[in-house]
Amino acid sequence: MSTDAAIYEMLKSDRKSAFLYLYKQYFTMCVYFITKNNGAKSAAEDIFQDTMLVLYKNAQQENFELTCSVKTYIYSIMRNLWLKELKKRNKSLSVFDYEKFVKVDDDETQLTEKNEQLNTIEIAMQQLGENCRKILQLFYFEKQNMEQIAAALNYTNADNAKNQKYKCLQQLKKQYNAVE
Amino acid sequence: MNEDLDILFDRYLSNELSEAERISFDERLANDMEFSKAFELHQLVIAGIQLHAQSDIRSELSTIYNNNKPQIDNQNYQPCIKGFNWFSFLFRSVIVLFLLSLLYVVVSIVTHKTIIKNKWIETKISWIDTSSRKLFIQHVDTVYYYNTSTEVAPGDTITTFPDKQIIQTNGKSDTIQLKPKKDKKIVADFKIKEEEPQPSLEQ
Repeated sequence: MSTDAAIYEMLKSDRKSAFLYLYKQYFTMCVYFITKNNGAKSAAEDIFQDTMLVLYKNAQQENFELTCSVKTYIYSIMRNLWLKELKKRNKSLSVFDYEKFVKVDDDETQLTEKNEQLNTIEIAMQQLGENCRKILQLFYFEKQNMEQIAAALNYTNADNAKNQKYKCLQQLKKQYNAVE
Repeated sequence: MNEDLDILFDRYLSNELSEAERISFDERLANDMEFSKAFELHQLVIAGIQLHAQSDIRSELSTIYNNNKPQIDNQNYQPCIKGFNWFSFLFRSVIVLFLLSLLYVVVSIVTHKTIIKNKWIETKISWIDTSSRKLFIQHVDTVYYYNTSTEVAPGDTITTFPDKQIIQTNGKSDTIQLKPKKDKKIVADFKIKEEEPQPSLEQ
């Protein structure tokens, strides 16, 4: 198995170790790129976190296929995110490149942005039990199927996990309406 | 009922509905206010769950970075694509242009042809040609001078080395090379001025 494939497997099975490895390998590349393109190190820390989130999210998708090296993919996501940030700041939309990159769609790097309604959901989420939060995150963020969730959270079968997920979702909606 | 709705919403959002189901869903969304509200809430809740998951991962990433900061920050990074260096570019361009001009001049001189018909270049080539001829003439002159016999007079000293002779006359010195380039002759026989008989003081 190639190193890149191993990283993807690690992102699915042991994300903490995968993140640490990726930090050691590519964080300085991110700092170099951002600081050479009108950014500070603190901005590089945020952009790298977002890059890791996008990478993690994409790695969870079953049909996701990497057509370039992990390094090139990370650089491309980071570059796209930084261009978006520069656009927000009304700054130049061109950057100096230090690595090869591939075209990354904006949809691919889209992360959920905070707004007032989502803050209310966040409060409602915190009122849910740990197990409920976990089951909803595994299904809606990590895109795991019911069999995988049942195995991860020790449910006897997928149907039990499905029922539990439904109850948790209803509870969250109730909590949201109550807070609203 | 609600569970069925949740499943339907999830299938719609993950593009799992058939064409007919999708059309029916869109129609219901446009006509049924309650259905539309329920779908809006469902989407919002999912966005909230995703945001919560994101912030969990963010705090995990922050912890990883803060706990391993020295190790992470001290990693070396060598960019694959170096930034554009104007100084290096200009320096290299000047060298390349100089080498190309030199090559052109050499080829022109050797072939006695101008490769590129350009008045300015032709003038320069002609100047270089004339100068080199002058140099050649000077060289011939020098050889000619060497070829002519050098007069030596009594009192002059001739110091012979394996490759040259140095003639010293009244504090001036003249060197004759004994190993000339091919086709060049050196007259090694010197005429020695015969001393004119000095008028006798006694006379």
